[in-house]
Amino acid sequence: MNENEQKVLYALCNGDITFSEASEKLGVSKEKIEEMLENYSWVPPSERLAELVEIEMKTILHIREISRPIEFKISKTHEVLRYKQAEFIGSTTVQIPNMPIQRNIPIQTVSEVVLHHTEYNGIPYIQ
Amino acid sequence: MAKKIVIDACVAFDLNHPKVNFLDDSLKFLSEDIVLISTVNFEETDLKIQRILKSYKNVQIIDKDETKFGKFSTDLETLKINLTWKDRYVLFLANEVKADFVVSSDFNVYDKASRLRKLKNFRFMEPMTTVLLLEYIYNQGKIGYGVFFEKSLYLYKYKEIDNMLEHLGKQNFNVTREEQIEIIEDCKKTMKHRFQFYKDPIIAEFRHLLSLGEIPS
Repeated sequence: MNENEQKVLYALCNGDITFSEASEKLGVSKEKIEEMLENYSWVPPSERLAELVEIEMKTILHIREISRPIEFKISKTHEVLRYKQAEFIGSTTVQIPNMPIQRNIPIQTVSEVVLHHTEYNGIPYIQ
Repeated sequence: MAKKIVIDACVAFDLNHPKVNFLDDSLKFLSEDIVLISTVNFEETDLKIQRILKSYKNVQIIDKDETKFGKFSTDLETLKINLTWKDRYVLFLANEVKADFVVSSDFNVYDKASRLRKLKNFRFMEPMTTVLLLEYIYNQGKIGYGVFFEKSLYLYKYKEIDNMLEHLGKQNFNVTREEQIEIIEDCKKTMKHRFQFYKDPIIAEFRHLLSLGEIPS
């Protein structure tokens, strides 16, 4: 692969040009460009790498957030049933596994939700 | 709720590397999730990997759909998101099934998944590297910190160093091809030895702290 071809493929991977433009610049078909891309290894420019690291950090935070056990307690007189796993559906609804309970709650403020037995069909409140 | 996780062929290769040896376990630990791979990417893997992938109920191998793929490819070209057709299939499948995560250790695929997600304002299709997939399994409480730590370091040593130097190997050194291969292979060995000098004391200290109960296992 010559220097010009490498330059065009770099621009292609950077998203500076399209396949059609790369094909025009090198005077070969789009299929040939795809073939050349198979044998080309792209290393993003440092600014793009920094962006990717930032995205990666956000993903780590998201993974931690969705993996965080949230304890749901349902009081039944003195008995407290604890549910460590709960699933957020959309941005404001939570589903407790194996329980027919689905409630709208402001999840951004949730640290622990307590559902009282007497309020089984009522609105849970945040402790 | 089960997460939909689309994987690139390189993820299976990474995890099945003899020194990492964690593909089987990863799929077992992801049993509550759905792991998807397109036939295009599945066929890039070797027979051993294919057998492992097929042996898990939570792994789905999704057939090609040329018509939808053609339209998706045109959309990507308009956005100047350029990938080989095999790599485009990773993003295509993630888009089709609205995957929660799309996993690839290929920088190009990772970068393009991030760009597509940003440009289309998707809430789904969060990009992950193979190490982030391990982070996910660890955070789900399926593996201890020690396993996560060691497997991540193995991935760096046996995949990342090789990948970086393979890239360097494609540059023009003004030497014969044989000489260039020899230089690159020599560099790989040196870097791995150097890496070991960093890794060993860290691991030794980690094990010591673990035995004292100062780190959760």
